[in-house]
Amino acid sequence: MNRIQGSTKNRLHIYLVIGLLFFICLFPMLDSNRYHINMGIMVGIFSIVAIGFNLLLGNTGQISLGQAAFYGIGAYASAILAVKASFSFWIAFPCTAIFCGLIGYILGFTSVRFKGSYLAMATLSFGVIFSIILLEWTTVTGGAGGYPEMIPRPSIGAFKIDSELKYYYLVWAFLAGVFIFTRNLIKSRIGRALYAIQGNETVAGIIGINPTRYKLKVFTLSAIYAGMAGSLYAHYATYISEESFTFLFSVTLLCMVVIGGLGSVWGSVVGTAVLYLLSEMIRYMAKFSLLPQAVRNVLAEYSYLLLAYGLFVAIFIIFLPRGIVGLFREGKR
Amino acid sequence: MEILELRRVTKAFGGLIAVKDLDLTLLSGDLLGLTGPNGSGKTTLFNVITGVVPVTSGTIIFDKKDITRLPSHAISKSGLGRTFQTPLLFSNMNVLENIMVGFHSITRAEFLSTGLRLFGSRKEEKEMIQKAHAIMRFLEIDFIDYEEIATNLPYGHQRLVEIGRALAAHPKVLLLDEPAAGLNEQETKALGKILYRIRTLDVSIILVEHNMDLLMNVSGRVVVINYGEKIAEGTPSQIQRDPRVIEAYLG
Amino acid sequence: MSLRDTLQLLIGGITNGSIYSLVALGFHLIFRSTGAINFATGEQVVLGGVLAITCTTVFKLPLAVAFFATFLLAGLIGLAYERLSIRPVLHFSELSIVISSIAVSIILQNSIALAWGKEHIAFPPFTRGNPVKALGVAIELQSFWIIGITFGAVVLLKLFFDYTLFGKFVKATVNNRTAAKLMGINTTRVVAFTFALSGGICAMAGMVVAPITFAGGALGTMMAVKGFVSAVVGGLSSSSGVVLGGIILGILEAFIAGFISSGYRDAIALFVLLIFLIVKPTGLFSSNQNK
Repeated sequence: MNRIQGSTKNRLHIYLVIGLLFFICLFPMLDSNRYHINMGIMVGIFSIVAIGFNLLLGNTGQISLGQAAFYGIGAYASAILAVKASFSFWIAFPCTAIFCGLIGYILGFTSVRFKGSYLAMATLSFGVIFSIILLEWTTVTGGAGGYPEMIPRPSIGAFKIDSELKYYYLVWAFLAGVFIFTRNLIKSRIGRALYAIQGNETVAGIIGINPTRYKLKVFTLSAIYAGMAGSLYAHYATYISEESFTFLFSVTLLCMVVIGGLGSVWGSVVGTAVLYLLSEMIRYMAKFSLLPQAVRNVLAEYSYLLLAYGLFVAIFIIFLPRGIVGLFREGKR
Repeated sequence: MEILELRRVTKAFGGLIAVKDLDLTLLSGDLLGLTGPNGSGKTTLFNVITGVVPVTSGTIIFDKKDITRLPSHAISKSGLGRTFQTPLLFSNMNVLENIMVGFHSITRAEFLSTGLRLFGSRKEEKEMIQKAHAIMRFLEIDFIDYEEIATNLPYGHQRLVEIGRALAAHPKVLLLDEPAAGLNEQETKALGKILYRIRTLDVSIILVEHNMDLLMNVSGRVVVINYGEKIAEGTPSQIQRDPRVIEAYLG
Repeated sequence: MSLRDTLQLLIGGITNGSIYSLVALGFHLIFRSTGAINFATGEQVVLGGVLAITCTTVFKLPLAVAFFATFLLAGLIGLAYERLSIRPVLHFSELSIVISSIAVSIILQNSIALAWGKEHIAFPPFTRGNPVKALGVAIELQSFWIIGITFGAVVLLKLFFDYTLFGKFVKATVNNRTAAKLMGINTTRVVAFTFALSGGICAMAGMVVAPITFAGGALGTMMAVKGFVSAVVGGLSSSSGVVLGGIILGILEAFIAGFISSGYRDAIALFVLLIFLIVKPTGLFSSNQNK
């Protein structure tokens, strides 16, 4: 048995995790570059969506290509509540989460009735319908020009969260909560029930698990996470438009989670961070004057980045189906 | 007392009648052997009882409750467990987790409780781990690496893990589908011992088996079906002398 | 609405519907041979248009030659797609196949954008000339091409499946892969072939509609969705069903779009999809109980 080697490996993993945690906590205080902190914030926000999406895809085997819709509903709902109803962020945020949960519950019937490709197509439709509504329902959403009013940053009494640094900690605090909650979920009886449903739904039923109930709950939960992230995004960016909530978002989400590691909460965060870093690296290299202009032009193309994403997913799903974190796991799952 | 009763159960797939007008009674504490030539409808019968396929006509009464139209998970919660001809363990979980997932219908911690790691769910989890190990000891499979992915095990071990998963829910009735298939003589003897041990837990069993030695040794009563119909019923010695049975197998 | 207007909308609907039918056929073939939905279908349609552009403008091939060249090239790409991305995951899980095909659609979409740019490219109609006037309605010449080629493709496919040996192999595999394997048919080769054929059909659709919608651009996703909706409406497992489904969707779109804002037009297809998935997922014409 590899138990002896295992414990050294385990210690290395623990050091790695502690190191990462230190980095996450201290990074914005050490690096005052606003752009970098912005990246950190966006990685945090996307990770929240990714964790919910991964719970749906990696743990329960449900493929939803419409998460962008919940992310967007979260953003716009929070925006409208904050601007039109003058709700403070701290009230708009939970209201948005509940609202998205409700919509998720209603749309969750797709997760129950459809499987695999059909579910993917059905959820894709939601995403596209939502995009269309965003663009056409100009009275409420502002249409293609984006939400017309500026969305206020949150504040706790007199303390306003108006700097990148403060918002970073706000986002990562929420992410930490979501992370721990989801991790607990996966390592529990619920997590096993989800794996059972993913493994063989009929057998899951025979051992007493009601697949309908759990699929619905997970779908709802993933919608809640996406909605929370949307709210966080709206109050950070202060300006939102349909561009951020397209099918492209849902697809990028898929890439993040497959590359990071399906079924793993760490995987969601790692995948998001890796893809984000990749995009920044490429953007940086595109400005690197030592490279020939032709190469720089290619690198500057967003399509090139997406192409890379697609290639990674295509390769990972065949050779590394458990993603990056799969390389660190002991091979037991 | 009858713990499981099938009254005139029929299952038809389009024109093909897999189970025809079957009456079956399992008495509490009993081990009922169920056998018949290949394709006689035994597995279909199990599928019907556990709600995997709907009954075409007839009634199924379990522990005085009509379970005929209930969904699988509700039937399982009532105390009916089952194994499959080829063990259907979950390939995305290890051995211990496969057994622990069997506790699902008798545990209660839900999303909020487990997500927030409230005391109740933590206690439940600890108990489940202990009980799962106890089940492995009970089935004499505690030598297996419980962290191994369940489907990597040899079939014989997988079968026992599957029985463990079914036992985890404290079932009143256990439906076993050919557990001895592919086992050698030594393993089959061990299985016989395990079956006996399970019965001491007050679990009533319906055992589908082709291995006649095992079947006749452990069963209190035996039912033989052919082409979905019951052709004989009685004690093992009665069955072995029944001309209709002999004809069904040789004819 | 006058008869003339109705006929006009009908012609438009049938024209669009023919394209949807071709795309739906692409879905149908892959679904029957692998049981999975090919998410890259839409991009394979766009591929047809841009390949045709290159054939005609860069290689200066005459239109007919370009047509067949595009068909063949797209077929080859379909083969590569199957060999590299589908075959390795065919035995993993349905989820893996779906993810793989989504990955390929990303790869295709962005490769096309990198190679041909993101803007739509103008494509000349197959024959130049004024629309034909009949019964008071005006029919674009390209519509004849679209409907004609679709009709021709459907007929040729039917002949192929019913009267050629390999075609019958494909039909057998598509009906029951295990049984076909037991009969000695090389199902791997058949599956590869269906990917090639599907790629070719989609490319054809892309090329024949290019003069109207322009080649390239972001048409891929919508094409895939509409093709899928057509297939679901008609019955994913029925070849005649998917073709009819396409026509029905085309006509439905044409008539409804007349009454509501054009922005919501694309949403029609999606609503139809959802309604059908809920109410009659096997489609109108399918005799199978699949899915």
